[in-house]
Amino acid sequence: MKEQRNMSRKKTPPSAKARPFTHDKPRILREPAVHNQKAQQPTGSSGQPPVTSAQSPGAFMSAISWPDKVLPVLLALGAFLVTAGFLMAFLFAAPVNGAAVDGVELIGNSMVSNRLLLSQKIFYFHMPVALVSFAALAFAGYFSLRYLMTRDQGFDLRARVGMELALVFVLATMATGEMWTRFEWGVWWTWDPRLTTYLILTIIVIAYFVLRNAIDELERRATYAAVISIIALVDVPICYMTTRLIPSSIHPVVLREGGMSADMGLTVTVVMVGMLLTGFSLYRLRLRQLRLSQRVEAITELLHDEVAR
Amino acid sequence: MNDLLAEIYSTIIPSAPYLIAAYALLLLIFFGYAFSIMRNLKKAETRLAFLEQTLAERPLLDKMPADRPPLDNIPADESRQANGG
Amino acid sequence: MAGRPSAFAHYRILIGKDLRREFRSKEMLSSMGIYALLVLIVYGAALAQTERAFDILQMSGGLFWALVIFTSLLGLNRSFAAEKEQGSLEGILLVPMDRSVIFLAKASSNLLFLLIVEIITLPLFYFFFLTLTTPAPSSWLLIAPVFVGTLGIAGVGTLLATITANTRGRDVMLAVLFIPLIFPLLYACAAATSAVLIGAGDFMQTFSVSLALAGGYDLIMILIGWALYDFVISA
Repeated sequence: MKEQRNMSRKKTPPSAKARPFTHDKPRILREPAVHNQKAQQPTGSSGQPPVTSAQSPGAFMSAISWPDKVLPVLLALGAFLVTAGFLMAFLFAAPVNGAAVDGVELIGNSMVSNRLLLSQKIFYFHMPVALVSFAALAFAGYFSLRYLMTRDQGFDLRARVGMELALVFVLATMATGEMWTRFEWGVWWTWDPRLTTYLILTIIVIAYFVLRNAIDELERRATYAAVISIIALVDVPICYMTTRLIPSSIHPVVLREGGMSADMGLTVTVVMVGMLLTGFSLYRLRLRQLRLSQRVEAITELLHDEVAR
Repeated sequence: MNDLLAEIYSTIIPSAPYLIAAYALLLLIFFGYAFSIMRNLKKAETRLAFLEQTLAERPLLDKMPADRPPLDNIPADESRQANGG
Repeated sequence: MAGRPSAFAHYRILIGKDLRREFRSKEMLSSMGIYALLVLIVYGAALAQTERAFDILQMSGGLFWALVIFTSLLGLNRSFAAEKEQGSLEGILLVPMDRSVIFLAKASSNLLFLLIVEIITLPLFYFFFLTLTTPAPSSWLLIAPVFVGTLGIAGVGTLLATITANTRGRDVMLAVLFIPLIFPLLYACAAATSAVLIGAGDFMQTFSVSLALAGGYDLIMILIGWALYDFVISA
């Protein structure tokens, strides 16, 4: 294996030892216009480092864009925060009061005269996941807009990964919300504003991927997907406002208003930051994996062309 | 425990399955996604390894196709030395 | 440049072309009309087993709007079919004009066709379902949500029809994209229509809020369609 690796590195000096193969390729096999042209991206990388960059490991590390460098740290931090939030949800945040009870008991340090709810603990994960899904949708919309402005396929790739992340988090929201609804209200589904909006959001994201699969040409697929993503971004808040503002006579208004106590707020914040970091790490991972697959495809095609001649 | 405490805690055990199911589904979804990323990564790496192998076996790309000698004519030592040993 | 037609002239010409073609053959209008009638018949079968005392007025607003959505899906699918068959889309694109004018023209002709079909189906709906109950005296107000809703359907639908015209699985693709995106409008218009049909309690409050939301939806979506249409039709 090592001989084969060195074989493809014949244009580079032998001082580069511990490099992963992904960043080496002969100039002939440079990847097609998938990487970004713009060097200043708010969150994106500047594409692959040029083949002729300085070859020492130190220079190599600086040649990777900063999100990929901090990725392990971010992922670890995200996992840690999520776990910490989970523990806090059960051990630190006070239980929420349910229906009233006749009589008062002394539990711990406080007088309790209501039923204590355990099912509310789902909320500590439900809300952060919902908000991260919106954030993912917003980022996908942003990247779609940038694609339409610049026609750079790198943005289309990022928009697609953003929508995938949105799908993951929306499914997580629906799962947790569904469990909560089932227990709290005893029914599997109510057409209340949040559930309805989330259902619509799920279907829109699925429709986005159905559309992407139905078109084969690169440019057209990216353009149409970008337009749908932008419309989806605008549509979801409208959907939420509409279902919430129109007074409905039949359906129960399931809105949980009321402030959060400090410990609840802290727990939610911890989980929120953890989820954001995890989401971002997943985004970067998926982006790198997709780019790697694309480069492998490109190389395979080039080789086939060469061999076929 | 007296009746009052029992009533205060009455919803906890019935709600536990739903709570556990919610968190389990969360974990499933996240790990499922990470798993699919890893699987695609493995696929890409396998193909990459295959490409490396193909490049090692085949003659170099800049040879003219008509001039390319058939594979069994390549002297084994020469090609391996050219490829970096 | 002296002889160059204005945007409004382009708009008029494009609309005129669509209207003339349609009124000559009446193909799309007739198929939409027949489809609406068929959906009403399906409703008849679906509701056949409801109790005698069942007040269908509660469902009427929603049923009507479901009918409108299904019919408009049919019409929107066909609105680009003729252009595709004759390849006239490329010809239109050759003319140096703002692409958004094409959007407006197409949306306007779709709006007109949809309104015509609705004018025909409303009496039919009344004939089949509403004679058994008593719609409130405020029912005439439903003209407003019908118009606002159809406006939104035409706008969003034209944009999506342009996208799906060249996509595999054309009709289903349009439905898959159209229904989630039109949901807020559908919700608002159905609420407004139901409110005035039932006419009970504080229905004017519901009516005005719903109408305002539907109007806001229309405004935002048509603006976005206007802005993005250039990208869509040039792809």
